Amino acid sequence: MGLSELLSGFAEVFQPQVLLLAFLGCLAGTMVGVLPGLGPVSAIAILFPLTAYLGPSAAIVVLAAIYYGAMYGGSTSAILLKIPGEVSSLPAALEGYPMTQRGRAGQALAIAAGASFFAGIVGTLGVWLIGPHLAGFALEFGPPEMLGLVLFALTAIAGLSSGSVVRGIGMAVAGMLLASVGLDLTSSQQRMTFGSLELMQGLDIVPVMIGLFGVAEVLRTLERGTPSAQAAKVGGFLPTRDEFRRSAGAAGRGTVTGFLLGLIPGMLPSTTTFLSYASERRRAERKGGSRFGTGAVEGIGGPEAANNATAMSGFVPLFSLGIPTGPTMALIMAALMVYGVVPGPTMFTSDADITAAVIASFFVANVILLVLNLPLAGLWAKIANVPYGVLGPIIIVCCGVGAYTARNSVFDIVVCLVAGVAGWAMSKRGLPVAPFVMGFILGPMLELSLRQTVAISPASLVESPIFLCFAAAALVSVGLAYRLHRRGVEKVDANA
Amino acid sequence: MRATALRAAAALCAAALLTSCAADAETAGTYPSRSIDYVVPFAAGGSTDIAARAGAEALSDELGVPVNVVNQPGADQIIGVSTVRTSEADGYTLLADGAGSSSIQGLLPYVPYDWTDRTFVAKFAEGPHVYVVGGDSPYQDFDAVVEAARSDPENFTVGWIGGSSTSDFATLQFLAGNDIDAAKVKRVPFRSSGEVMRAVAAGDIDFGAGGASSAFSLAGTGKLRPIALTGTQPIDKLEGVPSTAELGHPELDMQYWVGVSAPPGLPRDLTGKLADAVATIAEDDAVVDQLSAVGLAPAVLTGEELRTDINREKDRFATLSEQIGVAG
Repeated sequence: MGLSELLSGFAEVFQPQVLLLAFLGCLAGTMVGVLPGLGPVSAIAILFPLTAYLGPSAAIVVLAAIYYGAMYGGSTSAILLKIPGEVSSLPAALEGYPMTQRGRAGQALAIAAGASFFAGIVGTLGVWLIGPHLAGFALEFGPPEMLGLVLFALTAIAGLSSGSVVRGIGMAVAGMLLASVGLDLTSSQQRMTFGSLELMQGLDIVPVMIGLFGVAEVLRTLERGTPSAQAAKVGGFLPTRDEFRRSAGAAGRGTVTGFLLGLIPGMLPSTTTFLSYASERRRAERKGGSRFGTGAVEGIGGPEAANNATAMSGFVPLFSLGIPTGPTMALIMAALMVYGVVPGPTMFTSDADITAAVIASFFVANVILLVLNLPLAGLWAKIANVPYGVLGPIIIVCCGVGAYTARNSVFDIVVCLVAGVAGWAMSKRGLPVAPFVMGFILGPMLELSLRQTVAISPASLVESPIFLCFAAAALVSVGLAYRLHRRGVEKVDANA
Repeated sequence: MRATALRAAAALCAAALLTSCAADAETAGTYPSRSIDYVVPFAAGGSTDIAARAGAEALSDELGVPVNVVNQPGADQIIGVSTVRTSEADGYTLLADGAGSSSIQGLLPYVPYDWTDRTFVAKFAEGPHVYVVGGDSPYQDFDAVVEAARSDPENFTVGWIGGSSTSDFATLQFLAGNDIDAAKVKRVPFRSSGEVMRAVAAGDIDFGAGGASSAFSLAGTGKLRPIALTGTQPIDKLEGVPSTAELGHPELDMQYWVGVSAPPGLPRDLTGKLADAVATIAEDDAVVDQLSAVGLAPAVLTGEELRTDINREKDRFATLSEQIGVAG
């Protein structure tokens, strides 16, 4: 697809009604995403039925606008209230909330918005220019390659555990165990269901995570009595030169890795976000003077960029091969199919007009979101100043709604509340929650790719160069973590 | 005096009870008077979901009330079915039924209810499965694949989606109908037929089956080669792919279907009215278009005929699954 097609795509998008739809989609997505505990999953679930009445390109423009809007909004509630609406805004909560407490909420929001914008634009360019050439990548990535990637990703857990690595690994294993509840994929054996119908459907990451962070945060605040959020000052939103420099580098790295990994089927933004967070953290620790855990801007910029870049590059396998990389892409594919557009090579040839309009709309949506979010950052930041007697109950209700909408299941509200109490207890005991979530996400991927590899041929592992590379990277990663750990111990000894 | 008062009170109570009963038991004349929930036991975006949404939109025009699609995925469709089964049998909670939520459940030992205990209202759509091999696979047509699998079943890998979908039974039917030892064939687990198609196209596995629409995209790239469509009907978007009947294997006819079911004990007149509405919308142009976009075509069957058909389907599934030695 050349420049002229793209320009006619822009002409399509610049029609008043399409622009209005894109704007409304961004706004609605942002509004839902800003609600604590609600993120893209809920936004799409709530707003998807409304898109059924639009034509194919308009429906996709709106769906994408809602999706990106909710991601922007989700980071906002993560930064201001430490309540992420989805796994991929977890780093924003871990690093952005400490900034909010220091009265630098505006800067944190601006960095998140800027990094997302940068990755969104670069990602869109990527989909347009190199997308068609990279499509085959999705087919290169079979079970052995996935296994390698998951093994490598697991080593990042060490980077997520502040303090004891053993505790981090323990929590990751606990996450994997809980993720395995339900019906086994191949034999349909029940695992840890205790004969319960509700447990048979397994535990969904969305209610678990909303509980662990959202509900637990409310409990912690109630316990403290003096809500720290109230003391937060909004401040301006222009980052210092140093903050800008550090977050821009991280955003660049996050964009590249997020985009490349996002080409792989089954690679959700949550995973690439974690990888970016862990690698930025390690990078900072290697250099010394890491501020991670206390509001490091790299920990916001990198993961936020990775998140958006992954979300963008998911369109590459979708458009060129009809392979959706996750639930949102599956919905967009369904919207295309309903209108008789079959995703595949024709997307860049006979259906190029639709594709061009969609790509143009990504550019437009990203600009709308930036324009919408920078001025609104100050307004959103005021949320943190709402008295907790009002805010607390609203947060709990929103968390319940977010947990429910993931699967329309009342049981998930119970899961969310139980996870909330568990999250509160974990923080009392000093157990890190992030590795738990990581284990919860990677566990099923590890199991599936391992079983597929074994069923096909275990020998394919040594025949796969991609697997071998990942395996080597995983070993190096463990070695580096060990050295870093040793150095840390020596330093402590020297100080003592 | 007191007795009269008491009697009057009793009469009032009785009247109140009667009216409330009358309000509960709605007749076909007044039904439906409020919105209907149409529960889809899958996540949004699959072909059953798309068919159900097309049906729901047309039904809501036909019945004059909103018909809302509610996705309740999970646990081999048990969650969605269970929600509908335990709802009031008043016609306001319906199930987007299909083989995966009915006949196949008859084979699963862990289904906590009697799968036949529901009101089958109508089926409105049905479609074939597609058998695929890789574009670079050494076997390029139906007979070549059969030959290879029959001679060396231990090295023949097929996609498997947990044994609770018609795609898996289409695979089993392919193996059984061609004298391939299904117990020896390697079944590789996947989460959806879309993932199976990717793996076949990439050459990770030898053979896969899925609803026709799951192959639309990759077939266009040449990476995936559809070798046959089950049954007799051709599919526009898979032009040139022969049907199993044309290939001389009419017995390989596994179809998947989408319909409407209700909780057990839905009053007869409501069932009739709903079935008529479903039969009408199945021929609606907009519905036909949307169904064909996902490889489905209108196919109406109602009442006892539908129940008999589904029971027969269950018996066929049971015979097929005996081959691999496990139910499901």
